[in-house]
Amino acid sequence: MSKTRILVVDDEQDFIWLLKLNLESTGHYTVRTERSPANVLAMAREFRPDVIVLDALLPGENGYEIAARLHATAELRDVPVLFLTASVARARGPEPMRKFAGHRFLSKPVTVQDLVAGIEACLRETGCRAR
Amino acid sequence: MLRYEPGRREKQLQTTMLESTAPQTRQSNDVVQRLGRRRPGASPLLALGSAIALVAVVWFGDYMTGAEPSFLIFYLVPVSVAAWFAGKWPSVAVSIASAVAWFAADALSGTRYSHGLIPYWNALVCLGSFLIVGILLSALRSAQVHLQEKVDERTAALRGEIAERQRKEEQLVLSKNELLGALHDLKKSHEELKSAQLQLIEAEKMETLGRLAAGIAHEVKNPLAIILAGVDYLDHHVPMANEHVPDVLRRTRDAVERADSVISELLEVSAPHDLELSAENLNRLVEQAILLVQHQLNAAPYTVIKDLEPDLPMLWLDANKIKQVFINVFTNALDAMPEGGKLTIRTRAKAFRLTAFGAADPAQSPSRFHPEQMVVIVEVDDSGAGIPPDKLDRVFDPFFTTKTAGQGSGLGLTVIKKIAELHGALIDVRNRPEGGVRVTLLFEGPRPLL
Repeated sequence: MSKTRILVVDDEQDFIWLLKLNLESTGHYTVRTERSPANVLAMAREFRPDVIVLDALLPGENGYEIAARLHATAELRDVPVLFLTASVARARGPEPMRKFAGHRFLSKPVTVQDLVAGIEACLRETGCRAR
Repeated sequence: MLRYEPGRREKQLQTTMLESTAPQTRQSNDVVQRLGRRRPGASPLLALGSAIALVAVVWFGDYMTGAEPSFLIFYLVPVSVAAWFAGKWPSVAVSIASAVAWFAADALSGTRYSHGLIPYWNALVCLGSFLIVGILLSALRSAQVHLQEKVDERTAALRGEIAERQRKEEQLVLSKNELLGALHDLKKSHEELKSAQLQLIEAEKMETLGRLAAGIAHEVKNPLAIILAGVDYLDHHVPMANEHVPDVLRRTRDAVERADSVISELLEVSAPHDLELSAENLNRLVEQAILLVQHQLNAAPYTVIKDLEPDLPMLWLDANKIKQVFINVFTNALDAMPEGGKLTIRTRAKAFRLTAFGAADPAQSPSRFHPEQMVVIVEVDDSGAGIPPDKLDRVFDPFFTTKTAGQGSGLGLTVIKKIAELHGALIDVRNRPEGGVRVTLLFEGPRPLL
């Protein structure tokens, strides 16, 4: 069974590097990372991710605008986006799958466990290969 | 040309009195008017008639008793009556009449004298005596009446002065009351201004705090995310050859969570809040909040006493936010009793009284609630060590904490206060005389459901 492809977009180099290590070490995901908002669309077209994990606040560009641009592209229309944000308070207790403007989001810092749960929820929702 | 007018002073007094509207002044006015009518010998003609009649009676007695010189003394009665009641000239007339009457009676009695002129001499002596008595008595009477008038006049003047003073005192009292009213209004305006100014300062502080919090959150949460991701990786991939590794990782993770919860509370305090109101029962929220701190309740021997009024009215509340308030209050109470203790939660619906709430915030209490307004009160008591008195008024300040480092962010009560304020509720924290802390929350009573 092929692995789930995850595209992680965040401007924090160390964070995306560790996220890639953590997710890939589960053995279920292939992770590609991107720091620059300008390259996201091209990268997504080329990589064809199953889920895009997107920082809500990137330098010079709002994550929600990037999501809108991705969804305006025919081949990426159905790819779910999971937002990460450092601007909201963490939920009390286990991180629930909160939604903003129809998108799921998780607040930073996030545990691998919560991130995997978020990715799987996105996949289930879109009827993709949820495991 | 000035000339003396009898009763002129009284008329002046009367005019003065009439200008005054005070009832006491009108009363003394009447006194003066009565005085003005009083004269010596109020009915001189009647007195004169009576005196002449008395002369006739005495004459008849004198005539009937014959030559009795001592009867002379009875003529002094009509003379005195005339002098006292009719005045000087009527007394002179009655004296002459009495002397003539005596002379006539003496002549008719046929008394013989050694000399023919003696009866005339006797009559003259009688007349002289009568005149002296009459004139002296009338002078005495006149002096007495004059004195009485003076006394009455002075009494009336004094009464007038008293009335005037009373009127002025009344005006003074009125002015004082007006001044006190103005002072009260001024104080109230001052308090309102002060409160508005404090609110403005508070709003400005919160706005600054909000901007700061958003910046801090972003800048701190990203490195925290890296640390947590790193810890997660190490947790799964570093062989636990060293016995300390799991402990190091656990402590690092705890530190990340602690830092994150401070940032979360900071965001909570500073973020603009919208309330999702629904009709709620405070008892239900208290019960739910107790369940949410259950893990902490299990950590030490705690006794929870729930004294909840069964028929609390439903209130318009944001259930999640009020639950958060209760969780924070319960957590504070339990943190204050690390070795265990008694947590008492009381709910009551009652009429608002300042004494029921104390004077936690006297500037805002009276304006927000009015006496006898229905309020719902929640009291949470702990049996801990209490808060040092010099720190009590700072408990709501952001980042102020009495807990040891790492135990509290100092934002818990700040969040509670903000949520209470959003609900128009009051919050008070004070030490109980019997020890421990009491947190009181006061919610406005039920309003008509929209």
